[in-house]
Amino acid sequence: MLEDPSHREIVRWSEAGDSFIVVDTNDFTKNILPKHFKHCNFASFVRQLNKYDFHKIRNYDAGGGNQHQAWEFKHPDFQMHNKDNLDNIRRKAPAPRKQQQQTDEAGSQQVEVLQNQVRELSKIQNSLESRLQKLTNENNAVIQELNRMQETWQTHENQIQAYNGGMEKLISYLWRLDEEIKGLRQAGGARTDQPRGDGVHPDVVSPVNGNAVSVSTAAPPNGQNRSSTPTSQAQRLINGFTEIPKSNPSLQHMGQLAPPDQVEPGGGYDNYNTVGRHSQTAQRPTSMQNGIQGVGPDGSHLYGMDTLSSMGEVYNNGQGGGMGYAMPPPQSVNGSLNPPGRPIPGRKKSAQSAPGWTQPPRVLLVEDDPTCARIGSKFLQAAQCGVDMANDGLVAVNKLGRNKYDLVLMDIVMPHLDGVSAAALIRQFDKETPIIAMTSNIRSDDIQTYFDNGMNDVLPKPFTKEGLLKLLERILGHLKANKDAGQIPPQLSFNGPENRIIEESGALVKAPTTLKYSHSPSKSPQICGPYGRSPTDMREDQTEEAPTTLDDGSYLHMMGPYVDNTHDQGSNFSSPANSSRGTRRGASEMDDHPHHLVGVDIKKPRY
Amino acid sequence: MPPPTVETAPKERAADVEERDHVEDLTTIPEDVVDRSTFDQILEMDDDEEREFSRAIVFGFFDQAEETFRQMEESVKARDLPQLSSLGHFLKGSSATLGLTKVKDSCEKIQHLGVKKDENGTHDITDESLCLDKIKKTLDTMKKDYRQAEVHLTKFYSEEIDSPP
Repeated sequence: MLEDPSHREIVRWSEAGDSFIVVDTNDFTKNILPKHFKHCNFASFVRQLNKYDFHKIRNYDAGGGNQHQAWEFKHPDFQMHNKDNLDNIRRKAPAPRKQQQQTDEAGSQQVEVLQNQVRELSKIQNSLESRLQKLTNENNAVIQELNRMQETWQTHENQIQAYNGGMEKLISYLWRLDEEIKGLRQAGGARTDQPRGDGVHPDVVSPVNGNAVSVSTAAPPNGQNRSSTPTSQAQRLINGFTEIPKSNPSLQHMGQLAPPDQVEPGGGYDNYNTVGRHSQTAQRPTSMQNGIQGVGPDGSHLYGMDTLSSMGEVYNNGQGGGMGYAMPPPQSVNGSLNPPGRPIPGRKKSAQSAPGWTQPPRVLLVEDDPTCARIGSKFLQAAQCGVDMANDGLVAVNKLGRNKYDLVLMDIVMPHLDGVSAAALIRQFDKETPIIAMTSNIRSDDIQTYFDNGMNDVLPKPFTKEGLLKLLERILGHLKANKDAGQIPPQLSFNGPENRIIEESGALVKAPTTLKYSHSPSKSPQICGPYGRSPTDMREDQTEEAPTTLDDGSYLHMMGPYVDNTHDQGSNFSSPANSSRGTRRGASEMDDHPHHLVGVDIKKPRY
Repeated sequence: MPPPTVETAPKERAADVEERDHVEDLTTIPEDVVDRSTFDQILEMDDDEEREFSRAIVFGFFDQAEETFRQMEESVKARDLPQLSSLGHFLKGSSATLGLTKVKDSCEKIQHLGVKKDENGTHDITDESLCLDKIKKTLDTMKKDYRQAEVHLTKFYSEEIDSPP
């Protein structure tokens, strides 16, 4: 076609014969293309050429004016006179392939980018991981540190506990030592006690002055008390042994007969309690003052003084014991104080059950017998006590380890751990809480065992409501409201001769307790005075009196229904030996009394 | 000892007593069966007309006593003197608290006999079989006394229910 001269002006070989020239694209399209090419379109012809790897060289300048229409195409194998090469002219590899290559390339680039990104991410991740690792390590270190600290702390705690245990043992050892020493001194007679008491008391009494000053109404009487107490001979006659003062400001003080050798300390405490603690009201100080004043001049007024100190102004002007009798017991609580078998005119059942606490005493009732436990707790509740129960000694010890009680009523015969052992255990860590043996075994050797194991008093079983209320008043008088303060002394006066027996038995049986806690009429020598002896006798014969006045009858009132059974064999527990032992023991505990008061009252460690 | 007969006999007696006493109040209960003053103390604790508190105490004691009797019989069979003494002591406390004086006394005897003392606890008894025999007798007596008290008290409380004041 290209060699056809007739088309020379339209399409022909180039001069060199290695390319061909489309001179006039218009004519080529019109005349040539339709004959050889199905598309009558120059553009598609060119595209096909391109596809067969023909390349447009340049616009061929031929014939002047048609330059723009002249296209020269070239292919390495498309040459004039060389038709063999034509087979080499192939349609180029399809465009998609070429494009794919391009996308591959782009993909690979993308992959590369992604890979880079991944690399970077993994780097970041690595760094994060390492940081995390570091943090974890640090955390572990901290935890280990904490553990170590905890261990150290534990060790310290153990050490402290061990130390405390050691201290406790030491204290109890010292305690025993002290007791022994006092026992030895005691053997010499009462005189040894008094100096000791004096030595101890200033510590306790001195704060009284401070308190007294701060309580305006109380100050004057207190001053008088203070001045008269140490100097006057009558101090020995003062019955001022009081209940342990507790933190409640409105607590009442209970007048009490104390053994002569305890009188002075007792007086001091009286003042302390009344003025410093209880007497926000003017009445109490007044009564105190009266009591002390009445005591001072004449020992024979002892009786009246007792009454006065608690009864208040009525007795202020009285002349000794006669007043006590003249004063009928106005408050119903008196009935509960009455010795068994002696009816009291003013007795009222309801009030009897409600002593009127300033705060409900917390009582732990340790009793394995359900019937006794129920009745006991009911009685206690009727007496407005808060009652907690334990059904054997182990439970009781645990409860005392956790909680604070004002009183423990402890059965003796119980499963698992008996009451005596429980009391001994409790005394290892709690020397304060009064523990009362609640038992029918009230022979003297039994009772001695109770006291030897740290128990403070005995409530004979089966206990009666009166017995229980009496005990509560004796042990927990410091928790009573002021209004009841005056009831006990009048009661004593009321009882007359019977009183003596009770008090004697109290001195014998309850010596430690009464000295420590109570106002109870159990201090025998003193009581005997008003009834049977002149004051001078008393003074001269203080300690010896307790044993001599004791007799078998002293247990009668302790034993209640069991009296008949036990009395026959019971003569041994009133023997002089036991009696004097009890008394001595009681006296020896006197020195502990201030400690005890201090400990309970202002939470000061005893040692 | 044959427990069944011991158990049933007193109950029959109890029925008799119930028929006999149409009105039961505390004054008709013999003092040695239920000690008035002691029991009054418990009644005083009642704060409702149903006598809820003392009723619970008394009937609780009945259960306790029955159980203790059962254990005592077992212990007699097993010739377990210490256990008998312990059981005697156990029941002594609650019976005394309720004022069941006779029961309390028997309990005390058993308590003594269980530790090989005589009934009063003063003299030793060397013969265990003798102790056991005495305990058996005391146990029988105690059951009778207990049934008597149980009848009276049950009557008392049922009267209280039927005709509240």
